[in-house]
Amino acid sequence: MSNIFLKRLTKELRDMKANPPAGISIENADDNLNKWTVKLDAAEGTIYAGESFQLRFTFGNKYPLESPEVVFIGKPPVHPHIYSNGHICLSILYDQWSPALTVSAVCLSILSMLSSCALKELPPDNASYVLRAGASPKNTTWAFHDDTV
Amino acid sequence: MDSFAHGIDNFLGNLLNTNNSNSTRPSNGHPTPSASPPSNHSRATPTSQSRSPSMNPSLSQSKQFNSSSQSPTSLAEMAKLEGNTHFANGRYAEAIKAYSVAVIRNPDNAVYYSNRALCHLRLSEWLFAVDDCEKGLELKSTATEAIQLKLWFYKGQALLEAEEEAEENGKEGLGRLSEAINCLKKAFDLSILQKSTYTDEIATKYRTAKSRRFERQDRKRREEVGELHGYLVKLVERDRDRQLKQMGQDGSDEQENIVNACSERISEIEALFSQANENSKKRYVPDAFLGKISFEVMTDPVVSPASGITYDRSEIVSHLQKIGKWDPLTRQPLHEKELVPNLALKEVIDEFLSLNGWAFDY
Repeated sequence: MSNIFLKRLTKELRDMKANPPAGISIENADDNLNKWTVKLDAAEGTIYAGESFQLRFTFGNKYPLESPEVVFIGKPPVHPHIYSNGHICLSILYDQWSPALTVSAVCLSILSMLSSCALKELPPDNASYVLRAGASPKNTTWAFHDDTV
Repeated sequence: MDSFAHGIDNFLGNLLNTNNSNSTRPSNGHPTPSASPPSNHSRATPTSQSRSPSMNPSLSQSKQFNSSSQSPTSLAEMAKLEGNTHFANGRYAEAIKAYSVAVIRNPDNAVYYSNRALCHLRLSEWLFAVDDCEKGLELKSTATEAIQLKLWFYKGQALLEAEEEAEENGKEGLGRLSEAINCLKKAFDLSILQKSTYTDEIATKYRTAKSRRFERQDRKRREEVGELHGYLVKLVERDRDRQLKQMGQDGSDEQENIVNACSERISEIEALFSQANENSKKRYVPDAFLGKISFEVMTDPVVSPASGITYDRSEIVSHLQKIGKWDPLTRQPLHEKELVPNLALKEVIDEFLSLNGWAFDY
């Protein structure tokens, strides 16, 4: 299993460095490829234009059969699906994960989530969630109710 | 190794005692085929010294009690079980001893050879492993397809590892790399037929072996090209020197022409060779040949019928088993038995790989 993990992440890293998708750049990937830091530049013409954010990917050795843990580090964007502790409410990161998804596909999804947002506001349950949430969002049981934002 | 072999001999000597004593007892209903030493099994064959104690009647009588009720085959099975226990605990040398006993008791069971081969593999005793695999494969009646798969796999692996080890130490290998590839190919084909859980592991070894062979051929080709390059340059220079000599001292203009023509030729040759090198450096595998999950060149491409998307069998099967019964790209319901082999793509990939050996390790 670790064989496919390493090979696949090596290839993903190589591809992303060779042809980085717009607004996405790899800032750092540690030697054993377990943790990556990715910089997202919000698209022009959206309410986040000019802002940039940092995502941290942590891969378990069952990747890609299991989803990576993805959180914002530093100052997360203010968005109804992003909690102030950096956790992201996005179904493909949890029960809708598919092994055919890649780091770049996840980044694009998050960017498009930002782009389609019309109003900067925190999730309604932010305060209570941040209080009780564990370190990893993968331990949270997510309820995905809103596909419009 | 010596003392270890001696250990087997002692052990076997004792066992053979029981054998001999059995055969002298008319009441024993079991035939004792192993009383005639299985001389074709070199490592399991007791030496004359080790068998001599069996001439000691008191010893054989004392052993008689243990074995009079058991046939050689069931004793062999017991030895095998003992070997399995040793193996499970990582005591490979002890396991080899036990399996050797099993072989003596019943030389016709391919399983013993297969198990012993695996122990030799673990101990990096490549040639012994190969030997056992070959013997096991000869036993057509007891080598079931699952055992044959193992034997081909172990043999290919042993031959490959022997080459790798020799290469690492800068020594000449066995020169049996092609044979290793053939063995691994057989194992791979069998594992696909049997839907074995080894398929992935075998495919990896198979790829490694193929890419080793490619590397060697590539290295040889480069050496040959380099040699040709040097030879051509020398030829041109010699031609220049010859012309200059013929001309003697007169006409320095002519001399200059000759020298210029020569250096032009040499630079043309350089350009030609560096271009050839450049071409062989372009290494690119079409995305369509790569599995959508593993990102590796597919070995057994299968189509998900609802979506028409092709995956590598091992990756899609582990997804279906571990995550869920749906197509990873379209999320449509999908069951393992619905997967259809994509033969056309497999042919194209095989052809691509035969022309681009480097891609095995892509």
